[in-house]
Parts: sequence; structure tokens; C-alpha cells
Amino acid sequence: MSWHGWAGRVLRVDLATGRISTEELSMQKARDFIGCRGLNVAYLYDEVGPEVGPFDQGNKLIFGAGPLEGTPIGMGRVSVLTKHPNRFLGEGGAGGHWSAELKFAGYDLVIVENKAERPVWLLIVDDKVELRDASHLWGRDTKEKHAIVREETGIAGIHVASVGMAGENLAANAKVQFTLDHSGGKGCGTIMGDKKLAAVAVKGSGMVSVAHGDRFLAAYRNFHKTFDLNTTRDAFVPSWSFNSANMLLELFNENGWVHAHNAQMGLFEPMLNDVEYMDKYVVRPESSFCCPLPACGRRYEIKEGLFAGTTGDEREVGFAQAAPIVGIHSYPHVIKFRDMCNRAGLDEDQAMYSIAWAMECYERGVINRSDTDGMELRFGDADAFLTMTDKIIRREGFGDILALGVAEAAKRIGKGSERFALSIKGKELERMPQRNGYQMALGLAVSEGGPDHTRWYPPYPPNPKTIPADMDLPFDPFKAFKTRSPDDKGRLVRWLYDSRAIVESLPSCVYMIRAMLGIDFRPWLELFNSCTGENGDLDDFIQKGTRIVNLERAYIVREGFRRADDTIPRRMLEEPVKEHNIPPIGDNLEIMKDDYYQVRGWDKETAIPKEETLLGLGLGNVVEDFKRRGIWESTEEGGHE
Amino acid sequence: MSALIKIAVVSADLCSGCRSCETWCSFVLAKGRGFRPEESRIHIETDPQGVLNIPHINCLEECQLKHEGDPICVEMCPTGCLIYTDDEDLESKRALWEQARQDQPLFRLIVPWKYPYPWRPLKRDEL
Amino acid sequence: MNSPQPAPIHVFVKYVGRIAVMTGRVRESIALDEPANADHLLDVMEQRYPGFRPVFDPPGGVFNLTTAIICRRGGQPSFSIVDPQEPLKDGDVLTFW
Ligand code: SF4
Ligand code: SF4
Ligand code: SF4
Repeated sequence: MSWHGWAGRVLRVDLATGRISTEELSMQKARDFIGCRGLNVAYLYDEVGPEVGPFDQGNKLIFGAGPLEGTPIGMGRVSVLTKHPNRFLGEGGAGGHWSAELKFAGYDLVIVENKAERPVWLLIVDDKVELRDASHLWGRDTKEKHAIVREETGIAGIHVASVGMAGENLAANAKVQFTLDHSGGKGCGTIMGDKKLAAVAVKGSGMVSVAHGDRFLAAYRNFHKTFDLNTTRDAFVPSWSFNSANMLLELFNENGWVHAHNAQMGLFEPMLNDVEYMDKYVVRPESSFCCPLPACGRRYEIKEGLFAGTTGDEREVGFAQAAPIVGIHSYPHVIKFRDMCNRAGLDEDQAMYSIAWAMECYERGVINRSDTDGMELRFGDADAFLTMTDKIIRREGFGDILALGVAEAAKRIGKGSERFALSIKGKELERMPQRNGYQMALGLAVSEGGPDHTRWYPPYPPNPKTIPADMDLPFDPFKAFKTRSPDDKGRLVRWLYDSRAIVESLPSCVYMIRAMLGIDFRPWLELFNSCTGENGDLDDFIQKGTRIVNLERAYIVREGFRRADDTIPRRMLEEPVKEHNIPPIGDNLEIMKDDYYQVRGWDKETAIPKEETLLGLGLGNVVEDFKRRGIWESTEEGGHE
Repeated sequence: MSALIKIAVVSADLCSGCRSCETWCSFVLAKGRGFRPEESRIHIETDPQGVLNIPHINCLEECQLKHEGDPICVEMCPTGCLIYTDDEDLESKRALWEQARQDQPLFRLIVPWKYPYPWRPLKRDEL
Repeated sequence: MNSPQPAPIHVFVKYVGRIAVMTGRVRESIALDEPANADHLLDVMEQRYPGFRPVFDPPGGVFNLTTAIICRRGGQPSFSIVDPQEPLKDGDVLTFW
């Protein structure tokens, strides 16, 4: 059997015994779940059941590339998956080059099992795979880890996934940090730290095989043209190409989307300016593997003044939205914040929302200096923001409580502070608005992986008039794209989830969905078929996405998540955005959820997929599993925080 | 001045390290059977501090892998770091880029001749 | 007494992403004669930044199809301007991107 696209091999590493093995990728799983995000959950579902606690030996950490990774469509995207400390899917994508190297080394997936007794790191150079002692890496920041690995191996182009101090210290949502400041996988850094796996370094020299080269090249040129500045029809492409998410600062502000002062306000002035950032701090482009955009990824450097010498890479200066959240107006501080989070593998959202929550608590008198190690913790205090970030990383004083995540911290502090802890399924928000973008509210609520906009990207729907007339869409764009109405959101969000699951499983960067206005998937199908040699049709292709999302749902259902867990913070449901006179969402969320579960074929009361839905997707194994465990008979109501 | 047309690097400062050039060159070399950057005739070196990407070209003669127009590495280079031209044109383009990147920070990220929209120098005093 | 001259209104404009590259600046205040609409504003823009109008109003194309102008007015929900005849009011904040 010869594989195209897929490498056809899974690497298994048992940290307890040091045993390293490779096995053939299951062809059936590959066809059903594509790769990357989809294949990861297929393996996790089979191998890590509800009897395994997140910090048990039996929890696993999976790194997945996909069939199109290593081709220029893959953009170096990796998906990391584990059972999150809160038991939902701790999943996240990251870019860079790591995943492409994994494919060149000849693997689709790396499954890490059990725990090491002492810190170790994993080296993968083609067929040479070994676990090495990491006592000299432990306690170092992620950039130091990369530098040491690079020097120790003498391989200049080696790419490293590592865990920082936040993961080593088991902060709730620690990320895995990849070379060039890419990161992802909320909670994966935590579990990686728990397993005492300091780093995974990869370099490959093999080939990613393509079944039909001419067809693939033609399909790629087609795709590439949609990002060509000369021919693009999408307003986002030229701005995003150079300013990346930074351009959104003003757009969020003008639309009332910012979460200023912990989302108490929807307008923040003066907002940090994207052009100022570009002029003062951007030094040159630095992109992911084969990204066709000139400079979504940039290298920044603070050349003088406060924090001079701080340098790194970014694509998503969305982190600058930390500024309104904690109420500060200083680029050097947000840049320093970003750098601290990257070095520590600390989830920025956890840090910014938990500190903002603490600031609100402080200003409302819920906590005082005796709680905060004597610090004044007020909105607008940029130094206090950084000091508290550092305390979270070190788990020092009040930082030890914030390291638990904002939901858990609010539970401990109590006194009504839960009300302004902005989290979903116990994981902090990620700067996405809800009250004036109902598709976002629903998208965030029903996520199987906590708040994650890549699952239903983009926040900004295209202008419905730009949609080609020959597109046969499963929703009505003129209704569904209306932002403050619950109309037709069920079908829209279902479509977004299913199609984005495909893109994240091929994989490619979700931003690339803009190529076809996010709605035309025929070009993606041709890329997939010409690369892998498969020959399914469009319905079959989209069904793979539906299958992936249903399996993800089945996973969290098995962990006890129910309809009640699919919600958003109370602030969004009950409080208006005053500055823009936008009402709270109120009952509309439950109306949209009814609609969503219905179009999904999930039970409305419980949000559990129905037997016929699972069978229709070929998920007979899940049906067996659910029957054995009595899932459909159980009366559990969820209530995971 | 030689009128020989060849592939050249405008400036390493423009190289994003994306490896599109490497990856596509290897694809054409392998006659479309797959991607294997290791086998490419261009290699991107990242310096040990990771602050610069340096393209090394091992095909200083005319590219044998052209389809229509530019060699594939140039076609797929998103920033305009790679160029396929003669020495004289290369020098004048370099000068153009040097000036443009002083005037407008955007051109730290792309060469001005690949930027199809109108642009003006940034008024820094107004920021 | 009352002058027959139309009173000027002031709108505040912001330029985002590629639009700021086109103008070389990120914000400014613009005076317009009453009654003013989006089309009048584009006239002013085209005068200051030749080449501006066709980006938002391509000849023979659809106004603001692949671009956007967000209007924020007096604490009300912002909206996107889709009609060049859209009236503008004193104090509007208009974001071009
Ligand atoms: S668009 Fe940005 S985030 Fe996506 S692959 Fe390119 S550089 Fe990475
Ligand atoms: S010029 Fe031709 S041979 Fe040389 S690197 Fe480019 S594509 Fe390869
Ligand atoms: S394609 Fe261009 S920007 Fe990308 S690595 Fe090659 S030379 Fe650098």
C-alpha cells in the first residue's frame, strides 16, 4: 500500500518505559478523519476514555500533521490535543515549520503516552528517534530551550515544540510553544509539563508524495491567485497581509467588539494604532512554512526605551487587545507581555482575562491588598499587569490563584465574583465579541474545545452580495450574516464548524479560507484529492468535517458535558454594550442553541448526538460505546465550570 | 554590466523564511512527484540567533525549471525577495526598495513593485 | 442674522490597514458642507489622495463591495455604509478599511 499526502506512519513514545515505536496509520481512520485535528481526536477517542483523569498516566498528548502538511498548503500547521484539565478537548493549532518537518521526517502523528519520572526531551530526525535527558532544559524558557537543542544537535534548521515555566508549573491553560513564537493547545502545555516532556525537536529530509502533480500545481495556482494583491476580491487580504490581526484593533473598537476593562466597556480610546506598531516595532517579515501572504508574520523589536531589546515573531497582534482588556495604552507593555507569555508558554488569554477579572474585583472591593500581595490592582496600571503576569508564571502569591484559570479563581474568591469571570467551559474567552455578532456567541458556546474562533472563523462574515450565484449554500446568507439576530444561525454555525474542521485537518491555516470567501470548498477538495489520490466528491468531503465535529462532541459528552455547558459568560447574556447601545443577548442564545442542535441531529435537551446521526456518519463505534456506557439513559446535566 | 538574466536576492531583509522557493523548486525538480525541500537548488539558512533568513541559490545560471515567465521560486516568493532579472535592473530595483522602505514601513515587508495599490510616505509626525 | 451659507459639519475619519498606506496618515478631521453624504466625503478624499475613490467606488463596479466604511454615530450601534447617498452627520466617526 503506498501513501500519497499522508506519510502513513504514527510514532508512539511511552515516557514511562522509554519505548519508542512506529505503526502504520489506519487507512480507514485517515479516510474518515483526514489528519491533524480530525485524526488526533479519532485516536484520543479510542485511547483515552472517561475513566482516565487529565493528570493520570493514561492521558495522552498527540501532535498531528495532516496529509497536505509539507506541501505548500499545510502552512506548517500542527494540531496538539489532550484531555484538558477541565476534561474538554484541549486542542489548539499552531503554525511555523514544526509540522512540515514532522512530515518530511515521515510521520503523520506523534502520540505521547504516560509520564516520565525525570524531565526528558524527544529528538526526531527522520528514522532516528530518541528520548534524552532534559535536566538542563527544565526551568529554562522556551527560547532558551530551542537554542540549547539547536546547539546540542548542531542542526540549524531544527524546529522545537517546548513547554515553558507555565506548563512546568501546571498553570491551567498552558500552551505548547513552537519555534518562531507560534503556540497553541490550551492545556496541552499543562499536560506536557505534567508528563515532564520538556521539548520535541524535529528535522526531516524526506519527501511528501503527491499523487497527481500537475493537477495539484494547477489547483494551487488557483488558490494562490485569490491571495494575489492584484486580483483578490477580499478586503481582508491586502490589510491582513501586512498588518495581520493588528488591523482589527480599530475595527473591533468601532464595532463595539472590544472587551475594555474586562468587557465592562465596548469602546476604548485612544486605541493602540496598527500603523504606529508597524513603524516603530516591525523589522521584517517572518512567515510560516509556505504562507502565501507577504507578511502576516512579522519580526518585531523594541529598539529603544522601555524594554529595549525585546524581540520576537508574531502574526496575531490580536494580543494587543490585552491593552483595552486591562485598560492600558502602551505598546512596550503589551509587547513585553507577549514575550513573557511566549517564553513561559502561558496562555495570553488566561493571563489577560484573569488579571482583568482581578482588577474588576479590586475596584469593586471584592478583593483588597491583603489578597493581592499588597498590590494595587487597577485598570490602566501597566506595570501591575506585568508584575501579575510574572506572578502567574511563577505561581507566586496571588498569581498562584490566577494560575488556576479565571473560573476556578472566581470559585475560590466567591462573593459574586463569578459573575465577571469571563470564561466558557472553564477556559477564558479569547477576545471574541458576542453581543453584536450572534454567530460568534453561538460558535463560542457550542465549542467542544473551549473558546476558539478558528472553529467557526471568520468573525466577520463576507458581504453576502459577493457570493457567486452558482454557490449552493446550506444557509441563507442574507439572514444568517445579520449580526444581531438569531435567524438562521444554526445552519450557518453548523456549516462553519464542519468546513473549518476540514481546513484544520488537511491542514491549512484557517485564514486561508478567505481564499474562496470561506464558502466555496470545491478548490479545497481538488487540492485534497490531487495530493492524496482520493476521489470522493464534495458531499463526501464536507461529511468528513461533520464526522469530525460529531466525534469531538461525542468525546465531551462521554466526559459529562451537556447542553448547560454550552454557554457564554453572564455578562454577555445580561449586560448591554453601553457605549454602542447594543442590548445583551438574553434568551437569543438558547433559541439559537435549539436551532443548532436540531440541524445537527443532536438531542435538544442534552446536546447528545442521536443514534441515527452517528450511524449516518459511520460512527458505529461511538454508538456501541454510548450504549455500553448508558450515555443515552443517563440524566447527567453537565455543569462543568 | 552583463545582460544575463538570472535569479538573485534583492535583500535578505526581505526574506520571511517561508521556504516557498525551496519547497516549489524541489517539486518541479522531482517532476511533480512530491515536495522535498532538502533536494532544492535554493536553501534558506536561518542564522544561529534566528534574526535573519539568508537564501542561498545554487543555480546561478538560468533556471532550467521555468514554466511560463518566472522560475517557480520567484513566482511563489510572497515578498519579492527573489527576483529574476539582469544585474543592471537588480541594482536599480534595490535602490528603489531602499528608498521606499524609508518612506513607508510597509516596504520592510514587500518590494514596492509587487504592491499594486497607491501609497504615500508615512507622516510620522502625526502618529 | 442667519447666514445663507450652509453650515460645515465635521466628521472624524480613521484609516486602517492598507487604507492608511494609501493616505500616509491614520486619522484626521474633515469639514463638509451640509447636507453631506458618503459620496461627498469620497470627493474630498479623492482630491487629497488621488486614487482613493476607485478603491471604494470602482468605475462600473459595486460601491463598497470589497471594502468597508464603518460609521459610528452618537452611541448607537455602528453600521457599514453601503449606499453612497448615505447622509453624514456632524460628529460621525468613519473608519475606512
Ligand atoms: S496567514 Fe498568518 S497565521 Fe496563517 S499561515 Fe500565514 S503567517 Fe501563519
Ligand atoms: S531558479 Fe529554478 S532551479 Fe533555481 S532555485 Fe529557482 S526554481 Fe530552483
Ligand atoms: S520564497 Fe522568498 S521570502 Fe520565502 S523563503 Fe524564499 S526567498 Fe525568502
